[in-house]
Amino acid sequence: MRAISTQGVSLVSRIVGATLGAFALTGLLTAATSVLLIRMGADPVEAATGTTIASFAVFAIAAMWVFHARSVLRAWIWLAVIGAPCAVIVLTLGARAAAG
Amino acid sequence: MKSTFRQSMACLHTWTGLLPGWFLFVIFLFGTIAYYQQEISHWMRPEIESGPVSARALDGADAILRQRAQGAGSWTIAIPDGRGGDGFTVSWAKPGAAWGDRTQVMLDPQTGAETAPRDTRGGFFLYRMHFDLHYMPVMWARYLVSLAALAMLVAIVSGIITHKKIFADFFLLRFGKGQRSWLDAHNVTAVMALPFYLMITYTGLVSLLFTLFPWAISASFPSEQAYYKAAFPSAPAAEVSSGPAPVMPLRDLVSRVNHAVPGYKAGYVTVNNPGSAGATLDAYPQYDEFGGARGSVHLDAVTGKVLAVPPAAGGATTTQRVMIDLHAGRFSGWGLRLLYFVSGLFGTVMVGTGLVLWTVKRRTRLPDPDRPYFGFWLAERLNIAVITGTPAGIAAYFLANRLLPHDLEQRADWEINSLFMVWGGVLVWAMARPARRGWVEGLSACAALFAAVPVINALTTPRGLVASLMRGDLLFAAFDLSMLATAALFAFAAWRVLTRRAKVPPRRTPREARGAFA
Repeated sequence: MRAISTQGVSLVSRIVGATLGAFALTGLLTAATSVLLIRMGADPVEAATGTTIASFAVFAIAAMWVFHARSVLRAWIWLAVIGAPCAVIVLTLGARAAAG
Repeated sequence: MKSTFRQSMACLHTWTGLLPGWFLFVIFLFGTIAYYQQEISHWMRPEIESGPVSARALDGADAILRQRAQGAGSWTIAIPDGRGGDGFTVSWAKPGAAWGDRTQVMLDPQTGAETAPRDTRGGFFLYRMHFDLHYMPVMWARYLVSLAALAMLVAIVSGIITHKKIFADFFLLRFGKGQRSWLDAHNVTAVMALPFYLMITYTGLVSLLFTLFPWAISASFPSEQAYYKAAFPSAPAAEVSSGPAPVMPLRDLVSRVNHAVPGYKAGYVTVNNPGSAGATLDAYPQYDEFGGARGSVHLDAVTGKVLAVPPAAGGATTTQRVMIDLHAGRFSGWGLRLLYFVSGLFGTVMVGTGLVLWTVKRRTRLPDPDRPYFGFWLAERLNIAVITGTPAGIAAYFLANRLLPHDLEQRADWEINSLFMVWGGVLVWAMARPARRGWVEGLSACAALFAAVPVINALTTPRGLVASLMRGDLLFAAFDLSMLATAALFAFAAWRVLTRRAKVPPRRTPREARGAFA
């Protein structure tokens, strides 16, 4: 069996990053922004609706950016660097966390 | 990836366009047709006249409900807007009965007389097919449609980057040049209505908001119910009053609803516990006002007192409404509606030419064009099955509406099954035939089926094309004429494929293929 080339692994990783990676990042960013807006006094329905309306543009930009990134590893690092604080915000300040 | 931004975007455009492309073609085509869903509904129910619901018809509905729906748990009244087609219907059910056990009566919107048109879902089915598909749970369909729309958004933006010469391409349409012509056709249809595609894709995603990214709700609200409770507040609980009391006349109730909120037009009215002193009314609007209210108006159905009106919308919610209205175009008059329809057709052609371009471009590179690799074979067959099969199915839907016996059990379902049977037939045929023959035969089948629609209409109803023209019935005449025009276009396409292939066999032009970047 022929060994899978590094290029092939890199391409698959890039495709996963541009789809699932961008998807996860968009979800986290949308949720975290909504939570932050509510903490800053926005109406919850307005915050959730507004951030979700913007989410599709965020996804498109994220997907194109991961697809074009110079190295796949760097793209994944950036996804993690932006995604992790969002996850922390959602877990600590989110409504379910606040409700206990 | 050692490539320029444009090259990587070209690659992204190819694959985000191709993989959901067949699905997008279907969504685009049904969505485009849905701009005329009520006109189609009208044609598919030739027994009823169309038009706004008159006060006389409201009185007729009122009389029927009072006489025949005494003791019912609820009454519902569906009031179509002036475009009509969907009939003016009332329904009722015994207290505690299931929704499916309701008695439904359709009335003439002008006279209020009871009518019983043939059982059909009309243009409404074509509209629902656009985002709910068929034969599958609605939520699955909406996930699939949203994913395809998201891919479309990425395909559009990466496509804009790929085709940097947007304005030069706009004036460049070279006929009879094989791959160049397909690329030009794709570019021209793409650029022509580019703002429309961006708008329609984005607003489409917003129409199914929270389908793909529900996490703003899960992070911001303790539960999903909490969100819905906050977004769509329910009516204040009515005072529990015992004893019988008559419901106010329906026409007065509707008038009170319409005056409760400026611009509000009651579209769907439910009267709860009619006949008791605690009867209430919920009304939902007709949605044909641009950016208009979505929520319901609640009345005391005995006194007509307004109990609640929709809460004022904030910035984000208003944006959402405006986007949904822009997408559905319900507010538009005939001119804007035509523009929506034509832009939608261009979008359908854009997706279709993009799909064909993928195969045309790769055919020149095949080692043996008669024995392509599986992926190419599949793409080519799916192109035929989707591009010619979908319209053929829609023509069959119209034909079934005229040909199926009126007393057939589940007649409306069989109209829909006819659509999919013809579509499936074209798919099987496309798989079995050589590609060129498949194209010619698929396109010819479409031409024949669409040409048959006005003929069958004239034979089975008194509202054929000639009769409609004599009567001055513009809607019926326009429907039949557009069927003939569609048939002519398909016949022309079939003739082009047949004759052009014979004259100019596909040549291998690797330089041209390398130069093209789609």
